[in-house]
Amino acid sequence: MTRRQPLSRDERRRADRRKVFRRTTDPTDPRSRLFAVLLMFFVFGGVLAAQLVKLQAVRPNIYIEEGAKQRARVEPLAAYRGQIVDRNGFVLASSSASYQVIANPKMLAEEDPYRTADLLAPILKLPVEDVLEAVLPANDADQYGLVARSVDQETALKLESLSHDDELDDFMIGIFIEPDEKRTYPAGELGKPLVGRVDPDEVGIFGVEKQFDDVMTGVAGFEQFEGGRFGSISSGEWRTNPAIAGLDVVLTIDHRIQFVVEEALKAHCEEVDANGATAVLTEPGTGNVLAMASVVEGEDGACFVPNYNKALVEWFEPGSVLKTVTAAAAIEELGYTPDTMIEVPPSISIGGATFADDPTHPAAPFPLSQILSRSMNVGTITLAQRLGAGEVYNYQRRFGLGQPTGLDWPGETSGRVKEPNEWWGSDAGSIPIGQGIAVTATQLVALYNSIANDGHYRSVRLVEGLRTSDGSTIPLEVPPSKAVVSEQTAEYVTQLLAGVVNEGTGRSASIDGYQVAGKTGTAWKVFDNGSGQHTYGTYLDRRYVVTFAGFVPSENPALSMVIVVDEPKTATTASAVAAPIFAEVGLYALQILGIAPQQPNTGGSERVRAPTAGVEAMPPLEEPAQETAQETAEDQGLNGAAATAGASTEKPSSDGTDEP
Amino acid sequence: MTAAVGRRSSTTVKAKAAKAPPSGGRSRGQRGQRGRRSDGQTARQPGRRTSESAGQFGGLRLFSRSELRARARLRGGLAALCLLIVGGFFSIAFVQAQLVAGQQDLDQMRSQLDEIKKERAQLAQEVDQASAPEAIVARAHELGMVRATEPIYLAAVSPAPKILTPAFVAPADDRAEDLVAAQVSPQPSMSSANAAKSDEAKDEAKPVVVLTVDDPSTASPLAGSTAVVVGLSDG
Repeated sequence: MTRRQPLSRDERRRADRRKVFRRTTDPTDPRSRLFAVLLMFFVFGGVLAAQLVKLQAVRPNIYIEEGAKQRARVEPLAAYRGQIVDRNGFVLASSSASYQVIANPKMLAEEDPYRTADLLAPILKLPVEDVLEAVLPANDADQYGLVARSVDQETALKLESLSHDDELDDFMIGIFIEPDEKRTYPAGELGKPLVGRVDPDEVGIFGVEKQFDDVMTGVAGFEQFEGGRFGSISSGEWRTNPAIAGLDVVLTIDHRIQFVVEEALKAHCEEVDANGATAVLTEPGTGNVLAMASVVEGEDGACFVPNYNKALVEWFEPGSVLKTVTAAAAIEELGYTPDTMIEVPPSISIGGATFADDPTHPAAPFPLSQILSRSMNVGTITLAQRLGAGEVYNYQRRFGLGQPTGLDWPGETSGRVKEPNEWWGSDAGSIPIGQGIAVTATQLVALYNSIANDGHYRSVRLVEGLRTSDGSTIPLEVPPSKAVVSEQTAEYVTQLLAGVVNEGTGRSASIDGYQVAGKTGTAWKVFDNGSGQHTYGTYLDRRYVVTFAGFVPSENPALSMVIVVDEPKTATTASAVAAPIFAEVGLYALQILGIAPQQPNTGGSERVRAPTAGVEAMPPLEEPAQETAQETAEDQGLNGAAATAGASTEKPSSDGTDEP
Repeated sequence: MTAAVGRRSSTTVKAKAAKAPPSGGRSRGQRGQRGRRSDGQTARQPGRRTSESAGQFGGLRLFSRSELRARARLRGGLAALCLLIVGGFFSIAFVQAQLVAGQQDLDQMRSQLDEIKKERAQLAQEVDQASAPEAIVARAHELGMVRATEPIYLAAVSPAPKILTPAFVAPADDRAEDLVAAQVSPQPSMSSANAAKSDEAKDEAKPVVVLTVDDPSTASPLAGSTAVVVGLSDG
């Protein structure tokens, strides 16, 4: 056995060093614990280092972004829809803050949606069934139900208090109150066809609301800021994207005149049992519309303001109010004056129809002034024959008939003016006296404005301009005027129209202290007689559209107006139905416009503000039916002087208006 | 252990007792000399300052006055720094608290502003509704007023105002109560007071509408009057 050599000092030292790192199984040996702790430090240190590298180098912004996201708050900034105001700034339509109540049926299903509906219904003033429809889930994934819109602040606060009620708050989990916008019309139905309405999403559906929907709609903004539990953080980022409010639309109308016109139309519409009525009032110089009103008869016989603007979307055959165009053309083209004598036969037969005057008369010369004041059919047709079809058509077009008015109104109709090559049958007789031609009330008022405006045609204006949120107004372009007839002609025609009111068919349109110039029109109306054929009907079932168009004061016109009453039944002439409305409304409008009376009434002694029902028609001039004219002629021993109009089987007979 | 102090009698002796470890434990010095010392004596380490040069003898250490002053200054500086830091922290906390409070006030004011704006819009709407012609007519009817059937005009031209019908006339801007008192005689010659009033009104003669009280029994401020004139603004 070999004896082991003793280790040298260095060898012992190396051996001791090895022992230190020698693996040991002794649990009490501190080296193992030391090793474990070191290992742990290294592992955690490594992980920490890796995480640091990741956060600082690989994705340095991830937690910054996450934090910002958690702190970010976004508050919407409402951009209210622009207002609609009248010329005086009276608000006809405006938007204000409101709330909408939204349900999450899925969340509500966890409690008792029926109880929720019971709680909400009385506060929202809705039937429980309606609320249930919104809060009950349509399917498992249903998370949206619109309970109510346009909820006012008071109601919203009541609902919110339910959420803070310890006993009821469980039933409100899933009910959300969101800010919304509500369109209101402070004047109610006033000017409804004109102002229009919006749908629940505040999109215009008719009227100015529709026409100017784009400019009135604002662009919503928002405020983005950093917020915490106790509100916004002062040092945090604050970004504002301002809302762009919609522009206000400033109308040319005066709400007071509009109100009076609507009230008058309703009253007279019901009084004469009419199908409806329309009125347009303008300032002749500028073409600015002061009022544009429509009413229609309801099923109960009461007349109400409809949703559509009859003055622009509904055409009618105007009748004798169009004789003004023929007379103006004759003065302009043939050099006539109001005193020019025209040989007028008792009747004229054209295309199988016979046109006569009421009352009938033998062939005789009549001054032009009388032809218009007595609204003579034959005299006017005689003028048209001297002018020729081309000139008649030309002047009708020059006065703006058969064309859009320039208002660019949604659904506006241009009416219809036949070109000379389209004339056939009795058109040569009927068109110059206003039958067989379709116009709108607004076109008519523009026509009379041309006469009042020294022979210059100017498109009517309904919108004065657009108003910005700072109150400044952007005026809309005013279309240039164009000469239609000479100033001299316009003056002569004005004299003729004043004569109509002073001593002719329009006496009931006179207004104390003001000289009115205007013309009546009682036109036969085309209708379906039940057999599918459109006809003017017969003496027994004839229907009428009565009109009065004119301006006042005649010397320096400040107001022009057209009144149209559709199918009046208890009275059927313009002088009994339309002209009194002109006088009634005109008086008030002149007062509002501050036009002082210039003179005592020159139009006779009749007070036109007496109830319409009590106004007696002027028998010789106002009896509408040609059949009556026939009877009158027979009574006076003028058999054959006024032949009965022959009704065409292919088209309605256009044999003249009732009001001569 | 004996402290040798005789050599540097002028030096203040500061004894710093070595912290004795708890029984059974070992001091840091002992640990560092583990395996090499067994007699409990502090051994002189090669290359280290001697206790004499460092002023340290056993567990005591000697400091010169300048050292002590330096240490005191250092301690004072450290204390000041600590105070400064703590004070700074408190200041920051205070400012932060103020900012938060201010921000809360700001938030509250913003919220109030929103509410006031909504309230203003609501009130404006109510004014608009009350100003609507239909509402005014309804209110007038409640007060017992009816629409005039015969308007009266003041002639704005000389020589003499022409009174078309007997009635009450007055400048358009007067209040209804005043207007009742402004009754004008139907005779062409007006009283001097009313004539003066009329002269003033000539320049801005506005059309007027007569509203009559048809039911004097109506409980209204105008009850009992037979007629009043209400001027209309010319818009």
